[in-house]
Parts: sequence; structure tokens; C-alpha cells
Amino acid sequence: MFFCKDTVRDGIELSVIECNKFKAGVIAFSLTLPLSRAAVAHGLILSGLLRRGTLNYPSMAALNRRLDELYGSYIEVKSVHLGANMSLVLTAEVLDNKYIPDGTDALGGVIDVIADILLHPLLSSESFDKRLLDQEIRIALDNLGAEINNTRVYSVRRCSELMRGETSRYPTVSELKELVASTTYEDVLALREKTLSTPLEVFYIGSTPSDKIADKLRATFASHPFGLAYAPNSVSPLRRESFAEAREKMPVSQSKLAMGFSSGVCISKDDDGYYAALMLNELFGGSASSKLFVNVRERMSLCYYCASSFSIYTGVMTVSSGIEADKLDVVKGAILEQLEEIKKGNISDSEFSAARKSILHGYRQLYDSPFDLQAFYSGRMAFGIDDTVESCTDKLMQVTKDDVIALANKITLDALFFIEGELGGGADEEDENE
Amino acid sequence: MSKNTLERSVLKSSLLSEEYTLFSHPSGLKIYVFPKNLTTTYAIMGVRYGSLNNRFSLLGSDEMLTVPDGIAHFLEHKLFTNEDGSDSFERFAQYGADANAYTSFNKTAYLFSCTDDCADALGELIDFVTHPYFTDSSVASEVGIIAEEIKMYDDSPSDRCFYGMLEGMYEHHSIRRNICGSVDSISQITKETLYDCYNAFYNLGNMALIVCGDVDPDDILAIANAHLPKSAPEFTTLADNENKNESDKVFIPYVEQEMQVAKPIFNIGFKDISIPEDPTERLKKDAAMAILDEMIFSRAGKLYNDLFERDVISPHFSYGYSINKSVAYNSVAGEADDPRLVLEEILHYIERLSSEGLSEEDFLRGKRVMYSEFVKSFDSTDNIANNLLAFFCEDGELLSYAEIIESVTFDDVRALFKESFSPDRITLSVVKPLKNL
Repeated sequence: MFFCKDTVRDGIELSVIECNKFKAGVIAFSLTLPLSRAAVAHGLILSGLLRRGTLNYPSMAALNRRLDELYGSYIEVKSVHLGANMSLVLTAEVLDNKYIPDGTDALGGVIDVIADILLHPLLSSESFDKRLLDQEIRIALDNLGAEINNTRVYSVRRCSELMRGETSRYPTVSELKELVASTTYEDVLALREKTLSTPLEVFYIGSTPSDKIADKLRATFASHPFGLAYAPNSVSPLRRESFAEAREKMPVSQSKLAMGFSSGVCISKDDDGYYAALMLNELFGGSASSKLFVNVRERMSLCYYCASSFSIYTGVMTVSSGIEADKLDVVKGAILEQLEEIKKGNISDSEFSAARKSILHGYRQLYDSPFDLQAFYSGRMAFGIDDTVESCTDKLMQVTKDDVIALANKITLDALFFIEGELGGGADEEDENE
Repeated sequence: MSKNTLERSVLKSSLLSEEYTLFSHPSGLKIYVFPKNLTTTYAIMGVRYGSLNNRFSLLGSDEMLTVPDGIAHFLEHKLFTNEDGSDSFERFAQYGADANAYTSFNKTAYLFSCTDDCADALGELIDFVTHPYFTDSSVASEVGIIAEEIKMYDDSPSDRCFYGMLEGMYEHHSIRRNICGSVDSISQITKETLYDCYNAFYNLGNMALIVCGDVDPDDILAIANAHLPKSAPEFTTLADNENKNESDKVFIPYVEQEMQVAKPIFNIGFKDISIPEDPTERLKKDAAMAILDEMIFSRAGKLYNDLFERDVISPHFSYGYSINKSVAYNSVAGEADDPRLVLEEILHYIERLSSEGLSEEDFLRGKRVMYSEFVKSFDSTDNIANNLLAFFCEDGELLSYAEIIESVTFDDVRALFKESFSPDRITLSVVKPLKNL
């Protein structure tokens, strides 16, 4: 794999991983600007409206038909939030031209469609039908409302809201619903205009040489002057001053517990401390050989899943489990007991080695997914970090047991969210009822 | 007793630039080795045994056993526990491999992925799957874990809606039973019933080992040889014929449940009663129906865009065809304020297509999308290995599928359209929001 980054022209940067091993390549276009609460809502609507049609393909059906003609190419438009910034990202998966029997240039065609979506959307035409805006607002509100369909996701999201607290630059879901509902056509146009005045960053993974992509980008975007100034970005780990807890009752069988722990370390240009947090998370609840899986699930049979995940962007480790309502204290105690074991240094060599191998495996698997590679590099380039997969694995190898124990002793339980299932009743109870 | 010789064949596709080696091992096991220039090696040991197989007889007996629902899935969980008290998950972790397993209607799969030398992990995979060890206490301790898994799925509206569709379409077929079983059914499982199921289905002649990654077929064969018996034991399992009593029509045309959902979700099932016995014909039907689905339900098509623009459906809309030796159906799933209206609109559209005729342009578009999806599936060792297992279970050959897609004609699809979507073979399953929500 060969990685290169170059300036195509003022305002257009191109990063390419050239490789022949995939049958479909991925190309992603992103435009980044500072995040605000209102922009989160407007970005949601903008990304929906951009996908509704263009001057050349004046309906969603026409746009989708064109993509089908390009051998089932797929374009996703979304608004992504990282640290202090948000990006409008258009990602496409395109079949490699060598597998296309009739000579169609699918990649070239997809770049044309993306340019059309960015520069000539229906949204910006004088005849734009405002009912599309109302519909996108309804869809966004429906999607936000549908979160209760999945109580696991809902509990983790509510826990992360508790972690962020009220001063966050990112709105809570209930705030977001209000912001979305009040979004106007002018709001969306203004955000589009701002977005198009930022630099365009293009990331491609596939077999087409970078100079060909650069030529195509220069020709396709010749008429548009993208901005030159990059929005500075930064992240800092979340940590609450005091513990926050919230509970809700819901008409479901299984109760859901989400616990948010602050590690105090997150991705950073200057501090590699978060690699110890990755190891801590893996040992604690990151895999089927972790302490939570082996003890809380297998030994104590308290749940089907009890797992932890770590966000490198917030420094938060979240534990999530589906349990019986009356077992909350038992499960919470068992989870904290496992963390206590790590704090005391009760980590066997085999546990430590398995955790390290598991994370290394995760890093190496990135090589096999163009989407994951793109997300990995973009997620670091956003903060000016030039790590590669190889440098990350090297840094991970430096983490010692003592590093993990020291970090575990600094970690704090900052938030807990609990959904009490009202239709529950333990397995034993149900047996008696039969 | 089957023959004790090793057979080797190499299957190739110049269109895809792919090939794999298939060994028929003297132990009865089929071994598929698919070399692929990717970092991740993915291995599966799969059994043609899933939740559909809950009635069978043991070797040498005519007596049909009926086992509790969910037992194939329960067995999958318990196989990871070894006689020495160790857990195979932990062993895989020591080898740097990420292990998992799943049970579907017609198969059980034990798998791992690794990005290092996979020899030890592969040996472990073969060993633990071929050495069952169940005790009363380990069975009892698993009941609580699986009961929580069942409750988790019980709370999933999409799962409940999907099973509602199957329960509506089928009166007798075991596909209407939940893969995990129920809290009640799994409490009836004992170590003896687990051994009965294991002995009935986990014979190497009913199994496949699949390895896809940066591997050499002869190296994989050498590892397999070191862990497998040198000959195949006798194996016959008398399949039940319960599923053959299924009616041509659906059992219940409308199934409704109430749950915590923001707005109604639906699954529309179109029962297919015509299942070709010949595996290649079955694959061809699968490809033709997938193209037909693209022509009717795709996001590039008239139906979807009309319903979406009129707010009849939300963007959450999916469709697909499922066929195996014993069951076939088409399904459409989504979210809508009025799912009955969605079905009505779909039927009107199908009626219109019946009188106006299908579009050849749509046919070519659908075929192009299908071809592209199939080619893209070879970008992942995970996809390749799982697809090889699915084709093994259906007696099919994976690489030939590209030619099968190519061989589907517009006339094939028109003929299929005429026999599908009959109104008395449709079930609408709906999960509505709770009244007081």
C-alpha cells in the first residue's frame, strides 16, 4: 500500500492509498467548519437535501438510477462531528474499472455525480420545492424519535449525554429535535454556502493512480474556488465534576445499564497516554476474554452481554449491559469489582498478552477495509496527527501493565443511566409462571 | 463407510480473478481453502444444522426425537466449554484470534479471524468443535445467559416483526420458531438432549471447514490432517417431514403486535412455494428473484420514489429474497404510518406491471447492480468464507454464481414475476407503538 497526500490546487487536498487488492474503491469528499449546536441540526437537514437531486439528475430516483448505471455505485452524504468541528462528508463505493465488462468509467462518473451534488443541488435552484425541506425535517425528527426502538443504543446515548453535561457544544437529542424542527430554508442555504467556502479534502483508496484522480478533480471542480483556511480542531477528554445518574422506566423485558467512566486521556498530537486506555478497555470489557465477559457473563451468568468500549475522541469508557431490573446493584457491583481487580494489578500475563494481541488484530484488520482505512486516517488528520497504522501498533506495544494499572487508578465513574424494564421478571420468575 | 482417500479440486473464475481449492477429506469433511491477498484470515467450521432441524432420528433408530426449540443455538454456546474446564474463547485470545459463532435456520458456524499465523487457532477450531463436553451444571449455568439473549431479542421490534411475518406465513414449518427458542423451551434442555443433537448432526460428513486469507491450501490441509480422524464414521440422520405439510397459502395474512416503537414498522412476506430441487436451478431462481426485486423495489425505481415522496414510507426500506432447500420467501420491510396502505400500493404497482409489462431497461439495471454486489463481496475474507458456507449448505458452488447471474434472461424474470406475488400468499406483519406511549 502506498500512501500519498498532495495539493491538487489551492483549496483541494488529495490523499491517496494506492492499492490493487480491492475490487471496489472508496472515495470520500469532506468540507469542514467549526461545530455549533445549530449547525448540528442544519447539517442533518443539508445532508438529506443534497441527496434529493441535482440539476443534471433532478430527482432522487434519477440520481439513484445514475448510480445504478455506474455499476451499483453508492453515495452517502452525512454530517460528521469530530472535536470542535463538523464535516460534510460524501463517501462513495465504486467498483474498480477492471471488473466492469462494458468499459464504463464508474469512478469518473461518480466524481461527476458528487460534484453535481456539491455544486448544483436542487436545493440551490430557484425552482427548489420547499416541501422537500419539510419532508427532510420530518425524516430527521422520525429518526431521532426512533431511537427508543433500540434500548441499548438509547441507554448508551443517554449516558454519554450525562457525561457531556449541559455545557457541551453538542446538543442533547431533545435539544436537537427542537433545533431540527425550527430549521429554515435560509439556515440550510447559509450552512451550504459556508461549507463550500472551506477547503475540499478528498481521500481515495483503490487502484487508480493519484495523478489521474488529481487531473479529474482539477477538471471537475475548475469553476469553484474552495476556501483556503482550515478550521483549527482540538479535543479534550470529558470529565465531570460530580457523578450524574438518571433512570427511566420503559415497557421492555430487559433492563439496560450504561456506565460512563472518565479516563482523562484522549487522542492527542502530544500525548500518547490514550494507548494505555485502549489496553485498559480491552482487558476490562473489550473482548470475549475480558474480565467483564469472563466473570460477569460466564462465571456469574448475570447477562448475555456486558462489554466496554472506549472513545479516543472523548476519553470515555462506556460499559453497557442488558440485565434483570432487580439485579442492578449486583451487576453494578460486579462491574466495579472487575475494575478494582485491574486497579490492584490483578492482570495475568496471559490476559495482558491476549488484550494486546486483540487490539493489534483490530489495527491490522484496517488494511482490509477501504472504509475503515479512510475513517482511521481522516480521524487523525482532522487533528493534525500523522500516525499510521504501523506507528499506532508500535505505540501500543510500548504500553506496560504498570501504565494500565496507573491509568485504572485515575479512572472515575462519572455517569450511570438505567432503563428499568417494566415487562421484566427474572428467568426464574417466568419459569414459576409457566 | 465412506472412502478413505483425499480428493482435491481447484475451482476458478477468470471473470473474478479468483480461485479456491476444495478437499474432500477422508474424514468426510469438506475443506475449502480460498487464498486471498488480504491481511485477515477468516476460518469457519460449519455444520448443516440449525433451528429448522428439531425433529430427527438417531443412527440405527426409527424413532423420531423432538427436541426443545432453540437447542441448536444452545449447543453452539456450550461447545466452547472444554473437558478440562477451559474455555475456547480464551484459547483463541491467546493465539491472537477473535472467535465467535452463530446459529441460523439451516446452519451453525464456529469461526475466528486472525491477522497473525493462524495454525494454532485453526487446530483449536477443529478440536473444540469435534470434542463436545456437556455437564448438568454447565448446561444450567448457560440457561440464565441465553434467557437474557432471548429477552434482548424479544425487545427488538425488528426481530419481533420479522418473526411475526414468518409465523403468519407458515402454519407448521419450523422456520416459524425462534432460533434462540423461548425462556421456557431452553429450560427443558439437558446434557443428554445436547449429545443427541450433536451425535445426529455433528458428523464430519455434514460439515465444512473453510479458510480464506493469505494461506496456502497444502499448509491448511496439513493442519487439518493433524487434527482430524483418518476415516469417516457411518452417518445417517433421518430428517423429519414435518415441513412438507405446509399449505400453499399463508397461515395468517395479517399479524399485529404492540411494542415500544416510535412509529409502526412492517414486514411483508411473499410466500414462495416453488423450490427447485436441483441446486443450480435453486441458485438461478435466487439470482432471478434478486434481479426482479431490484426492478420492483429498488431506490432507483418508481414504486419506492413514489411512496417516499408521498410520505407513505420512510427511508428505512429494505427488501430481499431468501431460498434454501426447505423454504423460500420474498420480504419487504420498512417503517410507515399506515403499513396496510404500503401493501395496497405495492399490490397496485404489481398489478400495473402485470398489465403494462416489466421494463427491459430496469432488468438490465437490476442485473448490473446484482453483478456489482457479487463482485464486491470478494473484498472481504469474512464475506467469502460465509458465502462458501452458505453455498456448501445448499450444495452450490460459489464462483459459478457470477455466470448464473449472467445467464438470467429477461424472459426468466418475466416468467418468475407471473408466478410470484399471489395475493393469497402474502402476510403483513406490523409492530405498532403501544397505545399509551
